[in-house]
Amino acid sequence: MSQLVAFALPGVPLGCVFALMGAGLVLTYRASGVFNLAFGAQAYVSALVFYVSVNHGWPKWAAAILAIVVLSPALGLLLDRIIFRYTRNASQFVKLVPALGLLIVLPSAAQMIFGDSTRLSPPALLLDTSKVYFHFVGFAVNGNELSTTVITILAVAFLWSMLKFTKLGLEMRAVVESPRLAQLHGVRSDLIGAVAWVLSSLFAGLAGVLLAPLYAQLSSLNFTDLLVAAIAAGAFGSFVSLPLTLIGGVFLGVAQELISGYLPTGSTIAAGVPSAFPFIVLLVLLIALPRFRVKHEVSDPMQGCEPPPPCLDAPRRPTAVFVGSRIFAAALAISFAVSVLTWMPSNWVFTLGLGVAYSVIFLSIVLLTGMSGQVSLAQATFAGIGAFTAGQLAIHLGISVMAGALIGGLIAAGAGILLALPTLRLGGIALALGTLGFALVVSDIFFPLSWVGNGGSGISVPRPAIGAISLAGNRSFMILALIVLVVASVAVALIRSGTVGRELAAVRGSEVGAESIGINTRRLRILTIALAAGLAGIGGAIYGSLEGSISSNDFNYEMSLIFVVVVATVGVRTISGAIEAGLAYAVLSQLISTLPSRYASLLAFLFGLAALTYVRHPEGVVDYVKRSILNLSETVLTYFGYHSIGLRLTSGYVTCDVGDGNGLPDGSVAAGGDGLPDEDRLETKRDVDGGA
Amino acid sequence: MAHMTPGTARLLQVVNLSKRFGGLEVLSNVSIAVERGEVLGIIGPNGAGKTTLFNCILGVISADTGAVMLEGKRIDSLPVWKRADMGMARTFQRLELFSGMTPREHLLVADRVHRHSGGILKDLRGHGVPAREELDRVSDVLALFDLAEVADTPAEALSLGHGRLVELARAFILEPVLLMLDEPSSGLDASETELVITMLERLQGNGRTAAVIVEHDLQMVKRVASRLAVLNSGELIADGDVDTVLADSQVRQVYLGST
Ligand SMILES: Nc1ncnc2c1ncn2[C@@H]1O[C@H](COP(=O)(O)OP(=O)(O)OP(=O)(O)O)[C@@H](O)[C@H]1O
Ligand SMILES: [Mg+2]
Repeated sequence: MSQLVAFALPGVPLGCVFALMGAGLVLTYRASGVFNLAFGAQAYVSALVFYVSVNHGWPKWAAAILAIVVLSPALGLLLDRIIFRYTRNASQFVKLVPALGLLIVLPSAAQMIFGDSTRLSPPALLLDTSKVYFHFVGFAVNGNELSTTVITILAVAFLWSMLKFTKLGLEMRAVVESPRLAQLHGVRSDLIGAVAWVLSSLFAGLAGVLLAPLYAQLSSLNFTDLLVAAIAAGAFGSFVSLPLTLIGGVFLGVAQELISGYLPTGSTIAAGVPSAFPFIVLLVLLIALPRFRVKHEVSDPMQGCEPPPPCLDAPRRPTAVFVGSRIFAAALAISFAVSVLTWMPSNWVFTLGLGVAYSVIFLSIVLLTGMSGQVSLAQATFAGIGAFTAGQLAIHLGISVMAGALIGGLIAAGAGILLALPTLRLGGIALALGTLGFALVVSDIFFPLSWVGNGGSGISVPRPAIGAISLAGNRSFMILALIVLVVASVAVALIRSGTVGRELAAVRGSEVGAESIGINTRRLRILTIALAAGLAGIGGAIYGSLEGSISSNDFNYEMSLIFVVVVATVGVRTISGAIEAGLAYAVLSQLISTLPSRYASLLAFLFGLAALTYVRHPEGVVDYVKRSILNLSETVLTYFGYHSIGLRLTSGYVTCDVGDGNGLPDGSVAAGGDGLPDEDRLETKRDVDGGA
Repeated sequence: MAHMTPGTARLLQVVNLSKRFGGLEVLSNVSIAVERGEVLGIIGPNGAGKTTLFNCILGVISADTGAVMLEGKRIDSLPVWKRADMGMARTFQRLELFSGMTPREHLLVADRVHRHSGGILKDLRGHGVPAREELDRVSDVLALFDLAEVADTPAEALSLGHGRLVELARAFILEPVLLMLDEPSSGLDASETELVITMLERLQGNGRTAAVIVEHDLQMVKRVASRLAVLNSGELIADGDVDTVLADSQVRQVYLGST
């Protein structure tokens, strides 16, 4: 009994922090519909600012005001004003991408600003960490545990009563149910969104400063790892109820500490299971939650009043330009292949080979997200499954890496299906959350297992040989990688132009409509998840074989997030987008690795930053820039008296019948205006404003 | 019921269907049947529950109690797509077009789903692109609905009238045994309404297809419907011959009295 209490007690403050983060998530989710995955990163930034200012000799109260009351809410306000107010009516993916970008940007920016030194024993906010204030059933309660618990309960109670009893709280709840209807009743949904972000960021700041001393070292990883626990805490309250979130958070904290207390120490399992626990709870909750299952039942009655989404820009380029650009692309591809195979230095061939492997993985994102509109945050994990399978099969059974890649792809596809089955019936954000949890668990627990990734130190993956021809050299291996990429691209292109692609487009266009003509949307989604996981697995095996050795770190969950962000930035709708993204990512990583270590995350930072523009440029900001350049060159040509050669892609787009588009005075929720209505569309009228 | 052979069972039978949304009883004990080849009109004031009845019959939402039978088989636990596969096609009051796709693509995808003639393996072997005969079939239907001119315009750029016709064409190409139309003529001009009527008559001509049509335009209902049902506050208050129902005093009071 006493041992039970001894194990459980430290779980209470930990659980309180879960609850605090969960409450912050619930708040923005309810008020702006955004699942703020960057919540942990916001918490980290506050904790860091607090740490740095205390270390500079600031009094704690001043540091706390700066970190929690000033900086964090200011950041929240900024985020709402420049990004999230535009996403109110957007699809989950459009909301998710900037949050992911933020999750990547914040820690990397902090690292660049404050340096990447190790920061030990973070200071506690209020009471002395080492001092024991009183004994609870015979166990010492120190100052930090005490203050964390008390502050959390106060904060959650404050938030709850605000939502429950104040006019502002009522309005917040109304906005979530139906932004339109709330507006018609005079609720300023825009203001509500901003308030929610400010409050939620305040919570993030508080959680960050409270959480920091629970760990020996201040590191951004500790914060993002908490994300799943925070989400699970929110899930306890169906992302609605704050008291249940609090209870759920404390339950998770206590249960996690109990599990790690009673498990035998030392084994990999013992290290992994506690961190896997929140994910398992989350998965169970997602499946069991009635709120998620009845998503179709009670819907926003004003939904049909939204203006139709903006029209597609009809690609009416002159045939000559179209054919010309095709020829140019083909010439580029051929000269790339020839250069790689002949004169290029071997280390560059290696880098580009990585780019080719990334491209294969990124194609899976084009298939899944661009074509099917689903978000997986575990594509790097699926790649890892492929790579470890190929490596282990080659080491132990002597199976060629090429066959191993296929088997690895199959296993990844199987894992994808297993993950899809429970999460898919929930729709929306559930697959993203489920895959994120999966990615965390697999990279933390499964990949380090001795028979998978050799306890984190990694395994070697040999290069394959075809008969007597060895592909050990970078150049010869590149041929194989290119063949895989071409086959994968052709396959994706065939799927897109075939039955499955058209059915996917239909489901993206209208899920209800698609079901009504007999499309089994669930089966279709599972199929695409399996295909995408398999493709990522094959790409991962190529990557592993090129690298020669892999460890669990190569495929951690952050890679998955970066992958999604990179592809969304470069262009998630096109095959060429995936290839450009893959090559660019590999080449830029190589360039940045030559910079000082504090800039190690510069690339992630830049792509994260670009992802923040996703709301405005869902076709990929890179694509947007490309188009702008074309438009500019056309303008210059016309200026110098040349005739239009049709570079300007804005010419002749379809006009639509949308009336004044917005209908309501407040433009912030206008789907046809700023918030993107629907899935990422390739070229929207609004986005080709360059020449209009 | 169970011993009845499908041939003798009614095409569609709805028995004691009830549905609540929270505290609001939207359908209470609605029973209705549709025979092969007939056109049943459903009228009722706004908010009467007509669309909800459609959604329950088609599986978009599940009823609280009651049964739905198609050709004698219980279908109430089947998913929407399976009911569609059994020959129930519909249009929506609030358009559910595939945004981003052209009318031609709408029909191509529907046609292929209906014929089960596609699949991932065929796609990968390069047989996914539409065949000549598919394109011809689709062009014919487009012409039938006077959509040839806008065949390659993205759905979001279509007028409401064209949008309705695309939905109709999409339902038509599925060769349904039961066609369910939710206010098909709203937003259509006279000639487009005429098209809808022609199509309904054509379908009726084959003697196999039945239609259920929710419609506020009484003139149109009178022309196409062979039977009329009236829904008011979730209750079926009349069901029978068109003229008899329209002459019914209760119907006149709740529905016609207000117009
Ligand atoms: N998903 C839903 N959640 C809550 N209430 C709903 C929902 N769908 C419909 N209702 C309510 O149920 C009632 C019946 O709606 P329904 O759409 O079936 O009416 P209708 O007869 O089709 O009306 P109309 O002629 O305007 O189309 C209305 O009061 C409506 O507000
Ligand atoms: Mg209706």
